[in-house]
Amino acid sequence: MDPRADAGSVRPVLYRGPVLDVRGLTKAYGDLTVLRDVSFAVRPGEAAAVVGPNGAGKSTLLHCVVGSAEADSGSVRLDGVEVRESDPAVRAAVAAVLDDVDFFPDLSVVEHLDLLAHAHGGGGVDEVLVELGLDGVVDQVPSTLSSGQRRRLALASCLVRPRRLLVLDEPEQRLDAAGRAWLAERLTAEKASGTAVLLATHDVELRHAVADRHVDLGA
Amino acid sequence: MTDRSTTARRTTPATDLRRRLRRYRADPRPLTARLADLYGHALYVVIVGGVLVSAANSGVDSTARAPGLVRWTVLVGALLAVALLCRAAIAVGPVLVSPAARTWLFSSPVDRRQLLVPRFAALLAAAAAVGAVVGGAVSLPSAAVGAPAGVFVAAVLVEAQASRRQTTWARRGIAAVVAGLAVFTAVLAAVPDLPWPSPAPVAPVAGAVLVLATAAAWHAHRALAAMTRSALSDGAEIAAVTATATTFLDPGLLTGTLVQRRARARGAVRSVRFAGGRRRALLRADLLRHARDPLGVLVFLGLLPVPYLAAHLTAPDGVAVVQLGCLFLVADRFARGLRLVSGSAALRRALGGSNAELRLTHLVLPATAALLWTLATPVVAVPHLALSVAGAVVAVHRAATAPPMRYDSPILDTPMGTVPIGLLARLFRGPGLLLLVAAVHLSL
Repeated sequence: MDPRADAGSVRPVLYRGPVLDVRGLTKAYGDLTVLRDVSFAVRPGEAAAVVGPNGAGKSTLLHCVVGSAEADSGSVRLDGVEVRESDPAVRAAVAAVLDDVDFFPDLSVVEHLDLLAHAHGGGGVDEVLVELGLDGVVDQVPSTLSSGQRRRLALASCLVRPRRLLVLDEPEQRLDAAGRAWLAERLTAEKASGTAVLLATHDVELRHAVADRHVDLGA
Repeated sequence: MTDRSTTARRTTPATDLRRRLRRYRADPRPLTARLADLYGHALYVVIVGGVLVSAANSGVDSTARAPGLVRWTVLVGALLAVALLCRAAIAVGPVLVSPAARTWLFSSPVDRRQLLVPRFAALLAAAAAVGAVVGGAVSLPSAAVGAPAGVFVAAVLVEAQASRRQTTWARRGIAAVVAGLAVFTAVLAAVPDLPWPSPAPVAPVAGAVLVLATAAAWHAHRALAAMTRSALSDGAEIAAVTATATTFLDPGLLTGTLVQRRARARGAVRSVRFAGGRRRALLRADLLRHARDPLGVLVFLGLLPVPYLAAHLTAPDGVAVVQLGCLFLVADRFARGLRLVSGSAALRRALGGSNAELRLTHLVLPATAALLWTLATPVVAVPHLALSVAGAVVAVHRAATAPPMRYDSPILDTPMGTVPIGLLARLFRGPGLLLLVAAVHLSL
């Protein structure tokens, strides 16, 4: 039986394995191999931190995990099923902030979040706005926000919708000290609520505070 | 220690800077090679222009009931082209300097007006040429009026560039001209026998316009000194994106930037909250962006009289082709949401659902607009109407959902030079289908 028989649901009933299972992943751009035989798994309520120097392939790995980049070999399974980016079940289960983050240019901050919440049957927009300190810029369009506020909006976009796996590429970027402290707390809370977290980060404190395991691409 | 007068004495004169820049940027090739290039470009313009004029002439019914209507139509078309050209000129400047020149050259105490004079002169010369061509399209002697009128318009635009408030007024003026032309097109469609005025003596009019143009050019020349660095380079981003979009024949690059700029200029909006389920919220958001930026509605209304006018000028199959073109423009204006969602993997991931569902949901608005526009313009037989709606909507969908350009596609060697096949595939994905539907119209 397909473990995700209910394609729109983010809570499979029968599947008991890891949320994310990456096996023997290899990816090359021409002659340059950026990922070689990478394997790891993340269970519900766990967090894995992808670490490595610049150019080690952290962002590429995260793109392979959400299906927006295709691996040359190996497999990425979400709830036991091969990941395809266009699969509605993958989009329903995975909330991601990667390096290609984008917003609706003609909608305000609150409209952007409200639309995403309605699209996924989520909610709590007002609470998330307050939590992320965006309640003062609700009517502004994203292009008028500072880079730190845009990063907060990207993180907020993940929090107004249901999720089983949270994939974050350097989420600490452009956040101030208070923002980084909030991020560590929030990710810990996400784990406690059963969400699996995969993050690429250079922030040692965040890693120590959140990660249960490391995927070292520099090794 | 240096005082202000010492600094002023040490400043390199603008003429000196211009000479140096010319020397650095000089084309190292021999004069004959440069002339050969120029000849090639001119030949290309003449050939393409000739083909377009010939195609337009062949489409016009020579036995039209109202011969004056053709002249009125040419005049309206020419004025519309000029208005759009002016709008584009305001978007990029019209006097433009590169970001590098803004940062390094215009931050120095150099005489700004002296530095900008050659660009200003080139702009006026180009405007005179365009004005002469537009005037000549109406009647040959009118070229003598068109040239100074072009200079006058260009000078007014330069004057407006110096002040943000005047730029806003210039934009509004151009919008009013376009609206007036749309209304006049409706009048022409309703009264095709509108008489063409008897020829007036050109010389006095040309003289008067020349005086106005000279005064405006002198005034604009003085305004060059007051140009801020921001006024001079605000349009650099648009100019660069336009160049890229033209090179890769991808208007989506330009429209994306324009949407971002418009949103940034607006800053904040009166937010609404969505109600209902997923699809209802997505549709409401798509409607909202058109309520905030009503260009689509204006295009919808402005193009309404065009098929009626075409019915007086050309045969029914030709009218069907004109209607198809208008329908594509209308549906395309309402496909902003479709383009946004199709062009951003991050937004598709964030919205969830399948690609097909997202595309179909965002196709509702362009398809509805096309259908309503067709119902308002039933000037050809029903099979033509049905074919036009379906063809335009599918063409818009294909153009909006084109995959990203592949730069590693094979190269095709054509008589006009080498062209990447990926570029051709992208170009023909939407407009190519439109050409096919037009051919079917002409063969029915």
